[in-house]
Amino acid sequence: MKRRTKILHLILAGLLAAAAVWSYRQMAAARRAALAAREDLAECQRLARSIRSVREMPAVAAEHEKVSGEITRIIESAAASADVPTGRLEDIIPQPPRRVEDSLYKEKPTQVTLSGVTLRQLVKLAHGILSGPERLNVKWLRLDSPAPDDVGDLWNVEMGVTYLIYDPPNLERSAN
Amino acid sequence: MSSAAFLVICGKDGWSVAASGRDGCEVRQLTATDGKDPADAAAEAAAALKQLGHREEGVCLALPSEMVLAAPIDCAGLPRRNRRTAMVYRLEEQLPLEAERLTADFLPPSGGRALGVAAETDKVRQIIDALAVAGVETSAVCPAALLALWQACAAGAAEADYAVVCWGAEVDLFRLTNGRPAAWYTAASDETDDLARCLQADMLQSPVGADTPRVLVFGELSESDAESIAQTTAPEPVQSGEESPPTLAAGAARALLAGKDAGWVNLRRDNLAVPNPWRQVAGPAKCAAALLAMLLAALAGMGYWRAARYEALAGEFAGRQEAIYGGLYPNTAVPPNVKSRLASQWKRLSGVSGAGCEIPRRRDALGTLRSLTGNLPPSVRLRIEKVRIDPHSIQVEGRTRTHSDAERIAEALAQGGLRVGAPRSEYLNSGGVAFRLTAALADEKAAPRSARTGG
Repeated sequence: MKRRTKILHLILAGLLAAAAVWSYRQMAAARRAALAAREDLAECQRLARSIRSVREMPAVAAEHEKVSGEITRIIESAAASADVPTGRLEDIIPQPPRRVEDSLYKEKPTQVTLSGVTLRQLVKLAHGILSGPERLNVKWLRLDSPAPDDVGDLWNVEMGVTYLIYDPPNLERSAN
Repeated sequence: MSSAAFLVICGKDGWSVAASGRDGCEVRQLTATDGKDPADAAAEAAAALKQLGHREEGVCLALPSEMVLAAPIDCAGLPRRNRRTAMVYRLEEQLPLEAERLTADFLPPSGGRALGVAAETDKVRQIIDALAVAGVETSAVCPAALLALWQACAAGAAEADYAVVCWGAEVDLFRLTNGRPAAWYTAASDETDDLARCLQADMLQSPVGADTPRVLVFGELSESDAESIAQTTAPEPVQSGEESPPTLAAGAARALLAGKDAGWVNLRRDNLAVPNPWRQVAGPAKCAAALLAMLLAALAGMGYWRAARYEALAGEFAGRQEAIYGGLYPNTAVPPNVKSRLASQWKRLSGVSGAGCEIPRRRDALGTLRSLTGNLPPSVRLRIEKVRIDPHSIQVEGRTRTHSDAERIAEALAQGGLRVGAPRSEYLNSGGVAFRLTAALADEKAAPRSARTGG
């Protein structure tokens, strides 16, 4: 066999061997990708079931800080439902959110000031705030009788209305 | 004889064998083998070689000039590819046999011409096969006269214009150019004028120049031939050396078998080439190679096809992931990494719903107020003036009639589950007692809400 023919045969054999090796590597890589995709699909199916389940649960926290007007509207609506005269709801002061200890949540307080309201009106107002879907909470109360010798049923009230915001610290958020 | 090289000379008058070593050369003329079957002659040669010390080495086969055809060819215009084949066909044009029946070799070209030497393949193979049957392997084949001439030229005869090799029944006349034969004439030793006529013809065809051509003779030249040459060229030819052509040929054979270019040509080639030991398996080996190539090609194709299938499968899985995401979040662009996005969504929803998360304790001040008012003792007259309800404590200020009433109020609140400290009370000038109660609220850790994960 001529030398050139031998060289051509060797080159052809080398090319075929290289093609076989390359196609095997391609197949192995594609197989790994398919297995990974299958595992991802199973994980996605599990996550989807979990998400559907969690969606049915009521929220205990907000995803982000609500617009301040929204809280004001809720409080005013609750006051109206509690028959609190308009002038008695003196102040609604939103305050900056603060992280609750080392938790994943922040708390957004709003201070509400009322003057000359009865205990019944106060309770109805607080109940109206608590029973909304926004999961508001009356965290603290200050009741003062209007005058030292006043024996009526009117109170000056300051209360703190709060709601939770799900706001994990930076490390956790970047992982999300 | 140590390290000897062996030569088998199949001459017209009979065969002879020679052994050439460092110690010298020994030539043995075998009994007349002319007319004998080559197998018998080969067997006799093998026996003689064995006596000379031959074991299993390859020998050199020296052909008589009557078996050799020679002619010069023009080397101009030879193609680059298949050059040798073209030379053989040019040689064929000057020989009476077809190229397919010949095995040829060529001396190195000189002056644009090369001397071609050929032998009939079948006849030579017959001798080679006969020797092989007798246990003697032939490694090289060369005309005997060329072997002798080569050895003589190596010893200094290259400067002559002509060389005459007298070997048995044949006389060979060589024209030398640059130390190599450029033309070759063979004459019968008993034909007196043939040699001279060859010489004259060559001198006429290619004059050597103004000087008288120098002719060297190796072997025993008959007197008549000597006179004829002398008449053609003056001065008389010079006898060179005392070594006989067989001895010279044996020396050249030793060099040829050692790998040198002795004799200038080697007819153990092409159709007379040494059999390839792998020839028997060449067919199966080719089949195996072809099958291997087909296997590699099939593996490559199968791997590529399988890879495509896996890619399609991965695409299908990815499509189903996208469908899952689309089912959960319709009218939303599908992100590149669906799993990662769903995981982050799940984490977010878990935090918002409190599933699996530790939710901060949120004490309800309204509930605490209810607990406070519900546990006040009904039989005690009191007036509440100030209430402070914090997530961890309650503070109540008011008035009652006596210190013991303040104590009773504290006891009633304690019975209601509040951790009340001792009340502080003081008489008022206006009557009655002002009291202050402080109660701590028990800490409660909110348990994480469990969620059906469905996993």
